[in-house]
Amino acid sequence: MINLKSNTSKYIVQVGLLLVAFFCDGLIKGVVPVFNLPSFKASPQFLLLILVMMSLRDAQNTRQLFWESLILGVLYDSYYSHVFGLYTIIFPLTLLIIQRIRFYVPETFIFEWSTYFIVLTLAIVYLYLIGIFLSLASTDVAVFVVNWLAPTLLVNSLFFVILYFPLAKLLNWLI
Amino acid sequence: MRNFFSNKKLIIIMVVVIATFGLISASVTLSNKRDQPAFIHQVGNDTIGIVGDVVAYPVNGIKNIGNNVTSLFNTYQENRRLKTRIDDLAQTKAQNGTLKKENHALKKQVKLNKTLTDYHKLSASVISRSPNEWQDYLIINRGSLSGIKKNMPVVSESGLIGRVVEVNKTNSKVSLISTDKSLSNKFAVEVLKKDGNDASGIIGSYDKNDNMLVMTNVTSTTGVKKGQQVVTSGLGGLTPRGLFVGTVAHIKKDDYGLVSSIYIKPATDLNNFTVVTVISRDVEDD
Repeated sequence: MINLKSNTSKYIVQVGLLLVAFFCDGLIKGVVPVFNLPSFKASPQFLLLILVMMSLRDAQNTRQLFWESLILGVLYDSYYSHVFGLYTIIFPLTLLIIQRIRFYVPETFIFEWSTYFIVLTLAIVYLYLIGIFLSLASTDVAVFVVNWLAPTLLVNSLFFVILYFPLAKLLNWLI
Repeated sequence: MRNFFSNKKLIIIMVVVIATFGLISASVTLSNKRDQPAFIHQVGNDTIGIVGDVVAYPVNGIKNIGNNVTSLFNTYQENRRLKTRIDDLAQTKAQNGTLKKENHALKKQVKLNKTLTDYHKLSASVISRSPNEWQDYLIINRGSLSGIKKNMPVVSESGLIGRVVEVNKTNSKVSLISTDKSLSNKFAVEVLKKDGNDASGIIGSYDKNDNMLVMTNVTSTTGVKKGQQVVTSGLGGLTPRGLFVGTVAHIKKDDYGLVSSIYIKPATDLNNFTVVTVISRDVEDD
């Protein structure tokens, strides 16, 4: 039987959790038709959720998590888009920002949700701005806010509410 | 000026910003130019794709069960509706078979091997969908090893849904026709009119509010009526002729009254797929 208390096992579980979240983002988007309606485009962001919760608990500010997020960002861009520089920037930058502010954020549901909410908003706005820069996204800001930003924040907040307590328990043990 | 260069953090931020935009621009330019991504990019995508396919298998299975249960509830009404159409279908099928044979024989007589209407199909499962809104990509479990090439059209149950934009060894990315402003969705189409003079044009955009495809810059809409079928014309790229796109919903003149836009109701639901078909045109690319 695997000794789950060992650091290696914890590391394996951590990487496994990140990979599951990686695939869930695309799978849930593909499987749930409601997330793809023209007026309700919700983008599940489980990987960002887990990275935010992990970095909020990473008291020693380890470099390991930063490199993991950078590699995952490159893979995420490679697999889901083919434009490098979207999640390759979002994931590591999220970690760097949270490492700076984590001492001011208590480990409570409401503060962690607020952090995730702000990070998610910034990430989606960044993606939108890059879309405009490449002339691929609609330039109508109202359409972006109503059809993409708002549904994404709503759906991901809902996922946060559902997953927070089990994830917090798991991550407290892992990190 | 000296203060600016001595501020290490500011310089790092600037370098990161410049590098990011460089990376984005380079990756977009290269992906548009190349038929296949770079080797290392392909290896990464194939490795993730294989794991993704394994993860997607049970999830798609559960989704199919859900769809089957929904279908079960509609069975009675659907059965009644289909029964009225089945006699007509059998007759059309027989007629279609005869015409195909005749067409084949005539082509042989004039030594015409392959035309724009000849194609074969490759089925693929959808393993994932891009979470990014302006890159509405499907990731399918077939790649260059199965004969998939960049720009091949992709259809779902009843109609055209998009085009292959990236090909790896074991998986590919499909850009949907509903993707806003995508350069990859310019399909050449024609409206099948009753008089036989089909109106040709290009699908230029997607109306997100009405959920409709827009055939833009059409100069003559004489004889185009609501309900008429729209199919691909086979001109340009790798798309064969005759793939069903949708039906005409309405026609709208532009602001100056010079050209018109034909609004097309897509033949298929663009939000819900588990299996798609990639179309490979038999006649070589022009």
